[in-house]
Amino acid sequence: MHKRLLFAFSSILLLLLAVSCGGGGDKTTELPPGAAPAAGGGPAAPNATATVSGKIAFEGTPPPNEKVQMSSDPYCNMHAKDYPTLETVKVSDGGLENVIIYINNPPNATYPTPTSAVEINQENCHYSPHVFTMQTNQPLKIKNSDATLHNIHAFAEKNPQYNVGQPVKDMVNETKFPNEEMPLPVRCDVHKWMGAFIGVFHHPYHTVSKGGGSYELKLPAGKYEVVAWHEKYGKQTQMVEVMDNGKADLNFTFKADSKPTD
Amino acid sequence: MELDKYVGKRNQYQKDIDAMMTDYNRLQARLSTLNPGLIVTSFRNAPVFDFMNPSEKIDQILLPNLFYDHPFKQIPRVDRCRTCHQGIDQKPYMDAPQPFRTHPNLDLYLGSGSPHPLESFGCTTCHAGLDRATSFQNAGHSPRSEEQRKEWEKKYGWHEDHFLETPMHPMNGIEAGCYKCHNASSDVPQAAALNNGRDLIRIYGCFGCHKLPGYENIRKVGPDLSTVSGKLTKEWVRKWLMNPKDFKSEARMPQFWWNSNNSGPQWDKRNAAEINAITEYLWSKSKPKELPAGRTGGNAEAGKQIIESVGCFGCHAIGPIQDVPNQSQTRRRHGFNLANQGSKVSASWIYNWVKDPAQVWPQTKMPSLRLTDDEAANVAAYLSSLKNPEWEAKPLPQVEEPALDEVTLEFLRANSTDIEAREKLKGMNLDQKNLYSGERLIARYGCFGCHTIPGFENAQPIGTELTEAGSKLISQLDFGFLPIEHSRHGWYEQKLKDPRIFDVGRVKRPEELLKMPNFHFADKDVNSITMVLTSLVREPVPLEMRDKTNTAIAEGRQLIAEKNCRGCHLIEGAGGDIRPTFSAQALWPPNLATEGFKTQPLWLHPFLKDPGTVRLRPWLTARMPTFHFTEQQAGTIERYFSAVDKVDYPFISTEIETDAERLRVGADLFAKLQCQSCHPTSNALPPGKAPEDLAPNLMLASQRLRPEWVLRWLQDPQKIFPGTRMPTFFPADAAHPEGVSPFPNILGGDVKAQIRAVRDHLFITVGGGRRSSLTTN
Repeated sequence: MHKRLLFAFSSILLLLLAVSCGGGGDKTTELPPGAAPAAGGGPAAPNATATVSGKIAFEGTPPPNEKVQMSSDPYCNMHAKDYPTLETVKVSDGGLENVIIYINNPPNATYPTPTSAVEINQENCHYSPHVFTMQTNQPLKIKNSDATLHNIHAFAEKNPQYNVGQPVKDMVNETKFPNEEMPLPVRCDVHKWMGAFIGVFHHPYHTVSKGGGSYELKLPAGKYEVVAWHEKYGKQTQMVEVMDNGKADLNFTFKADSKPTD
Repeated sequence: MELDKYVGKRNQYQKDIDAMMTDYNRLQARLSTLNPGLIVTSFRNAPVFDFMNPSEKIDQILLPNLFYDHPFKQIPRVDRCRTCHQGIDQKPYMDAPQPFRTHPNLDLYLGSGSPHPLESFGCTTCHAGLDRATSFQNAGHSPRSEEQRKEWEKKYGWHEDHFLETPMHPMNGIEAGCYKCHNASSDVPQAAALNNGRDLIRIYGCFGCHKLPGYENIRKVGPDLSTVSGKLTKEWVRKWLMNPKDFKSEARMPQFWWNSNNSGPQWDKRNAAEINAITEYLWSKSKPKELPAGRTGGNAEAGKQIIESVGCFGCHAIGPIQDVPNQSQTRRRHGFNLANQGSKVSASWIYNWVKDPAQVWPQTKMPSLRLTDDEAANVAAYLSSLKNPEWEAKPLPQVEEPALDEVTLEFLRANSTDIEAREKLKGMNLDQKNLYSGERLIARYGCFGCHTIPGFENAQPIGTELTEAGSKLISQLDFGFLPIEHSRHGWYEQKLKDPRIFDVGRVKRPEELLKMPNFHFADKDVNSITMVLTSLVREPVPLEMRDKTNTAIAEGRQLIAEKNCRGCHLIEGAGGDIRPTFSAQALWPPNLATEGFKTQPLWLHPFLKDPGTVRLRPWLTARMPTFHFTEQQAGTIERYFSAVDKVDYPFISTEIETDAERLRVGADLFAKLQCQSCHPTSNALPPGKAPEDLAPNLMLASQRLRPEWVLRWLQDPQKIFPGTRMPTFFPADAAHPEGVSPFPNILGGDVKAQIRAVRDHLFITVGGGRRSSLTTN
């Protein structure tokens, strides 16, 4: 009892003190410390001084590509004599072309968006190139070199829908894709055989295998998971580690009879 | 010079440090207000003084219109959840540790601009739980999994509260909270699992035995058994009844015999006798329908192609259904699975059925696909070639009279003494025993809940009413001897997984045993149905908070679900389950987004009534079936589409005000845009083209489409049907939100004027549509 009285008394004293000091805030509207929002942005992109290069080898007899039946558009029928088949499996010097090579674990950084445009052309009722890569928000120029209607239709799942008709020869449209998407298939709905694949990445570490299946990637020093993707044979992954200014060989092999892995 | 550079650098760094310190000082100041030190805090919270401004106090939301349903009394809700969940309605705390974390969907819940603002909905309205509680235990948190339960036991000393009648919905059953308000229509927006549960109830026919809100006046789910002897054999039915899943794993009829309370050697003979008695009863009452002799001898290979292409797969599948990423496949369970039909019915019966299902069974949900005689014979040949030899080879158990006597005696004893019953039994022959027992067994198991059975026309359903299943007192649920969670959620889950397991460990007479059959639901489906059951609560919700879905929309959704329109069509963004079975996008059934705004009522009505006469893409093998809609049903669908799009119905103007010059420009643009690359203007397949190259016939546009829809469509087709093959010719960019034309020299490149010219050409010149009297020339 005595203790309680004392407590009450001292409390009154303290109350005066507290009132004169202005009191505290109202806790119910406040939030716990340590629950602050995460900061955005990242460090600048590191210098890509190392080189990873190699060959996408192809084993076995390449399966014949599907023949294209172009009777639905007389223009294509007349002009596309040089492209009787699709480019699904394109092999030269034992190497597989049109393979997208990219890394899965780029350094955490903000990568500048290239201002130079990537181009795709619709020529003789085919897409050229058939496979290419670009960066998010990088401009993509779409040209129609044919005197027939094409529509370029990106079947995007992670990007906004894009489907534009190009009825005039040599007209050019420009677009960009804000989100990463790999692969982003492109088709022409007027000509069902016309297809292309785009790899859209937020970083610059990606390329497409050229003649002989060769490729070259410029990377900053580090350890990376390198992915090789082909429209028919799917994905393969390998690890590589490079030093500043270092070089590394990294070869992939796709087999004619292998099943798609992804 | 060199020095200046360093001085500059130093100043720069100093600035950075200052900037950081400003933040630091600001946060420090904030911290000292929040936590002014032990003395001040303990003083603020001290007894007597804590009335002023204690640092620890209850944060509550008063909800005078929402009630907590105590026995005999309803008390307004006072949600105190925010006392701990301080960051719940504030965006930046997405990654904060619980209980401070932000609600995962502020756009839909809690935000002042959301449809469910915190101040008027509170928390327990949706989540359930005890509104006034201020401790983890008393609030009624329910773990979502065994791991979470263990974690909570360790961390908070959590234990099941046997006295709390409204524990929270566990997070994996959270959608149960939606239904008490969103009960006006069959789809609850953004509640996929709950909607799946409601679909399952419709498919499996739970409402046949249990009264369930929203499922009144629906046809029984099983086939009519008053004509069964014309379709099946007794042997087939007896074998089927043993366990329908043995015949095909996708069978929807549940298993009544050899369940957890009637298995074992002592049951084998009795079960066989019961099944036999029921079959004999059905046959004695069955009057097979007179049907023409079906054509047989079709080509099975051709039949397979027909089934794969005309659209059967919108409602049916053959064998297991493969999962497809980002595409629901559940509506392909609407019709029964076509596997093993050859082991069930004859080719002749299938022929009659597919020719016109309604002539075999007038109440069937299956529409007519208008197959020719040849096509029907081919389909019959294919389906009757699908057999299950393993099942056919399985022996039928022998039926023994003593077992039947035992069953019959039990029923006889119900109304007479043991001696009288035995006397009566002696006077009965085998047939009489079978019919007598068969009838009573059908009454016991409630077979008439799903099937039309002669003699049971007015029988009442046998199951417990589930109208308020979500408010059923937990103390009224019999948990038996099972080591399961003593909650409503836990009980319903167990009941759905194995309905009769609660009998295990008990001694009961056969007539006292639990009767609910085993549906062998997958875990995901159990979860969905449990969610529906726990959603059926008694709590009154004020009128202004209830789902105010327009009746036209609610009725339309109901009919669309009943007819399974979404098996083929995308409607309100859901459906199109059949799509992955086609090889090309051009073969898909249409997306029905904006259908009300798109089509003219005068076109849609006759189309719904008889789709065979007006075909938009006659080159396709897939076709809109004939549903034999009544006028009222067709009207319900049309009103629904118009109501969804908020457009006029049924009187609209389709006249076009135009002039000769505009029509000339329109014709020029129509040619230049090469619309006919894909769109034919006749019903014939253009030379060189395949069905997958084409789009709808434009001849019909003026009769079918609303003129203002065409303007919107041509502007940006992706906005109306995302992913459509139709491109935009006028892509918009930041500088030209209305789009840029590929023809800058026509009509001054004015996109709107060009689109209008094309539309006018399409409607007047191509389609012969009506011109307004205001038209010049």
